[in-house]
Amino acid sequence: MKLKTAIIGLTGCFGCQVQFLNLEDELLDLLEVLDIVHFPLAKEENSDGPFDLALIEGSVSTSEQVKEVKEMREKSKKVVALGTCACFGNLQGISNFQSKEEVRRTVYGDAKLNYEAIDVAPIDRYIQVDHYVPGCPYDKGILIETLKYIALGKRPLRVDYCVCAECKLRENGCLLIEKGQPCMGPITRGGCGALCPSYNYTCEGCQGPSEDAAEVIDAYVKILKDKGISEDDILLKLRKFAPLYKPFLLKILKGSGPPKEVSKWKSR
Amino acid sequence: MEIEIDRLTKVEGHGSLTINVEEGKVEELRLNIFEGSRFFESFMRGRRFEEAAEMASRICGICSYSHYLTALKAVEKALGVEIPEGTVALRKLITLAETAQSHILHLYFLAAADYLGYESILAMSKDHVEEVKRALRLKKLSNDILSMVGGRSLHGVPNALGGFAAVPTKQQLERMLKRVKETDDDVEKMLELFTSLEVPKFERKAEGLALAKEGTFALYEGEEISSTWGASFKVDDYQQHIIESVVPHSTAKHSIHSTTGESFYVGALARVNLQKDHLSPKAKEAIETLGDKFRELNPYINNLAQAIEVVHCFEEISNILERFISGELKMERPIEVKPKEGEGASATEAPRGTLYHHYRINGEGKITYANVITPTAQNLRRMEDDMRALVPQILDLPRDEIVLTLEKLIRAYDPCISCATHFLEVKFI
Repeated sequence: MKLKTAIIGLTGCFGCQVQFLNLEDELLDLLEVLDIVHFPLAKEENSDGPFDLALIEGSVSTSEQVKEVKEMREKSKKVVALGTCACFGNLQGISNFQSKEEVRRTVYGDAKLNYEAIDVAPIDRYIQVDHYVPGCPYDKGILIETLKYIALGKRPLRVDYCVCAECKLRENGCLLIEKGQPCMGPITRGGCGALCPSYNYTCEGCQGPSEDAAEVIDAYVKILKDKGISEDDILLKLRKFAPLYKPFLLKILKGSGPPKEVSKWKSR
Repeated sequence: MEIEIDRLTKVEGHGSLTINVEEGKVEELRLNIFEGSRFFESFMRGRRFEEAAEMASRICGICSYSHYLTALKAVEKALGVEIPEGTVALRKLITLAETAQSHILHLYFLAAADYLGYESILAMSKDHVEEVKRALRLKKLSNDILSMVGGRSLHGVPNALGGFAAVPTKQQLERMLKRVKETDDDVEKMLELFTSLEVPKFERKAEGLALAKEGTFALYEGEEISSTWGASFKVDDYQQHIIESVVPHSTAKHSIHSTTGESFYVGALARVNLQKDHLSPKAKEAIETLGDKFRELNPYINNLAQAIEVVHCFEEISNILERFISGELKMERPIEVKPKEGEGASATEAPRGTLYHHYRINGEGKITYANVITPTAQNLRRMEDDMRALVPQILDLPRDEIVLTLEKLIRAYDPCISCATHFLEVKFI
């Protein structure tokens, strides 16, 4: 039995849906396992459900999307949060920390407009998520693995190591320790194959926080400070791809001390 | 008669169409855009200049590299950095590969099904498996070129400020050149397919705008915007020319050209109309063979212009790869870029048309101002104007046909709604 699958996008760049179409070698085989019945980006005819599986890209940023994501949850047996927007809010979440008035002025100047802004949120603020496939974009291989396990009725493997593990496997020099660059590898979830450090650039955290980020954040921030990175630049790093992740937030707010709250991400 | 398309499908983003016709006259026509918004111009303020391109990349998942490179170009201009030929050539390689990738995605995955009578490429794959496989091969090749230079096919490694911190090896370039050469047949068949499709007959006079650089088919390089109506302007003066306004039914702004006071079009058709002479030999041959069939004022022809650009892109990719392999072009070391106060506006041709980025940077290297105008935001007004002219001409058709004709038109523009709403955050009441 093929899995009746829905693929939808909330607020984001659509790249994670495009990344699905980028599975050039696997797409036709995947269609043997997934019956994609709802995918407005690529299909004219879209079923109203129910679905065996929903892949949801994007963060929630309008009240309509709150409704949409809840409906999708009700209609679907399994929900996968696809990409860093759905998992952690991504860059647009930064704007939650700016005053709405300031944002309005930046974009419209003095034009008078009525608008209702809601805070950007990852989808698990509103619904239960069964599996997370973070990444901006996510790694295609990891999505395939996740779908394979779901199709087999098993729990997908978790990437429970950070980017540094993959960087070591690739025998890259350490940008943080050796060169003193603010690489986010130690607190970022692996899965990308340490892509950016392998291209001689610091990890910027696009795969979201690693599972033990909450435990290592203090030590990590201390290293950055020892390397001469300013408080302000550290804050920018933590408020980037996962600006709504609680351990990062608490670190930013309190400046020091271990965060008390453990996120949903960690508890799964 | 009322025509309501609640949810436009096979376009990138969220939109709907409302048309109200009374006694053969269009009383109301709205392309409603209700994409959620993402505040880029606002949250990029206060970020470091090194982050501009990396963040801008996230505006769009289809043309991420266009945003990335346009932002780089603007930041480098603001900081007075001159980029050497080898680095420019690598960036052009990215632009060409992304243009090909985006066009193939649009042509095969979003547009073709309309013309071949399927609801989607997924449905098409049952009867036309060879065509679908061809689409996947061409897309994979373009994506692999992007990965070779930028690390991955979308949202590349942000290592290119002042030059790439890691560059492809000669061996990689040679292997890629071989693959590009082997794909000639696929490119030819792609062109055949999109040449054979009958597009609706419709023409409307409008101004086309595109980036220009003397002697080249400008996609990445260029500091001037040329017009099919003659008068060109400097990219630096874009804010005097491209006038954006807010309309109540759209979370994306609309644009007019100040000189004409009217809407205009950007994208593949504008580029091909303006820069025909600089197309690669095979692409030029293709357009000459088409002759009269290439109707410059028919917006549906945009699909065909995209197919011609794909031919151009692969030929140019070959050309650049060969020049690197022969040693004529050299991989350059990145130039160290130091923060200083500055301002820079830039434009490139993204797959869907001219893309503007503009930044101000302070002495500490923090962004103090960011502005982005996307191709789709420029095309939206034109799309409505075209439909307003088209609808009275097709009222005799059955309702289903009217809807399909309009959907085809909207898709021909290849709108990228999430791009267009990268900065608008409002819900209009």
